[in-house]
Amino acid sequence: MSTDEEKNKSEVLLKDAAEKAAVLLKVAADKAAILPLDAAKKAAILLRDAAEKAALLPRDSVEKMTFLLNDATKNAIIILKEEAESVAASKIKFLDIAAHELRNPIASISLLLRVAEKQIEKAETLDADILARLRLPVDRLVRLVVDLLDMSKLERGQLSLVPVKTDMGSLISQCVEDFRMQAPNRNFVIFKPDLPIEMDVDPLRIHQVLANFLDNAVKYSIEGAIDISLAVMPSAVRVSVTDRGPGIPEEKKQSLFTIFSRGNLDSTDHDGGLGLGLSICKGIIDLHNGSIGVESEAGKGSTFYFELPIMNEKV
Amino acid sequence: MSKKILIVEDDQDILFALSSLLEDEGYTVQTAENGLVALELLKKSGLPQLILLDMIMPVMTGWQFALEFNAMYDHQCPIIVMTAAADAEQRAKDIGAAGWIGKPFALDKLFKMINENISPLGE
Repeated sequence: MSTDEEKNKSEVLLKDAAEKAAVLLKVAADKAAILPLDAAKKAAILLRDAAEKAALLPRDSVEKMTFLLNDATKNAIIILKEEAESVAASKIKFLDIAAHELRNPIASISLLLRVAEKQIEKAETLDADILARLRLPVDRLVRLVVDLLDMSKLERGQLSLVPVKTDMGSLISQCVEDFRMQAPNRNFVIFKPDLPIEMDVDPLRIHQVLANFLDNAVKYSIEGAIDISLAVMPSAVRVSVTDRGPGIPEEKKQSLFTIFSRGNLDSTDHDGGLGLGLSICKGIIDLHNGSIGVESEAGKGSTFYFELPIMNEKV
Repeated sequence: MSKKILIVEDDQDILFALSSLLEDEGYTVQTAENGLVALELLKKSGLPQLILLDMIMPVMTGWQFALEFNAMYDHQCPIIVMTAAADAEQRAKDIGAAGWIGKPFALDKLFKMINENISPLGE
């Protein structure tokens, strides 16, 4: 081989290795975004792999590769640092919102109780109106606390399922019936096969996921029918809820199911809650070895779905 | 004539309960569910002797309201910030508020703060 040929070969190899390193770094950065706690460890492993590959290159390339890797490592550290800072900022923001969401209903309850006490002092009676008003902030607190407990169990891997043979069609009908009562002016349309579809699932948890989808559909679409569909596919059963709301922009879809990254973390909407609902849903569907997602186009409504594998042995 | 307090707060229950409790204390109470409604109300019915201001509200936040209010009325009426936000003290300082109180709050503390800061009648 002539010197020129060797030089060319080494350049090709170097270019190839550099491209691979770039891909690995991109993967490391992507993983860092998804799994911030493990990210540093994962990035380190990926970089070590890249270094090992570099060692297989011709000797004169190794030096260049080392230089490239050093450079890449510096970049990776910058990326990881930025990511860690952004996660830390999200956590602080989340805690602020959590505190805010908890403090408001407590303030309501405390003030309403004082009004009630005064009424009783003055007139020895109590307006039914006060009790009705107390119900709302109490319900809000209960929902928040239940969500926080679920999330905490999921994060610690302590949420366990109680699987029971369940007819998915009946489960869906029952859940939708609850919503017909809560939102009597909305039109819920169920599409499902006539035959029963029995699966080993935790019916309470699946009910919780579907209720969350329906709650969002009612909350984020002001009008229009809400379709609930149950479909049997070759290897999975798919349940979906479609609304005719404003839809979800592409850039928000990814983060919808991720804790600490609620699409509207900045929102001033009091009923927005903590944005834990969909993260909890994802946790529940993951435990069932299923998948969860959203299909949506801005202005054309959204379809939230989950799929449960038909051979669901592990649950 | 009793002293007038304007409550700017989007939580209907807090608005209802505070109005009732402050009226029991002998104040005249006006309410607005966000900053924009409050500004319109001030244009129509003039300045109160004190404003109780929530910070996180839809349409126009307490912060935006305070900026507009201070520009239009030059701090003519004391504002007490009433918020569940974590950075309440800083927010209150930023808008030059007379004081701040974090939600949930002890009613006695709020009454005391109102008493200490409320403008005299006829100013």
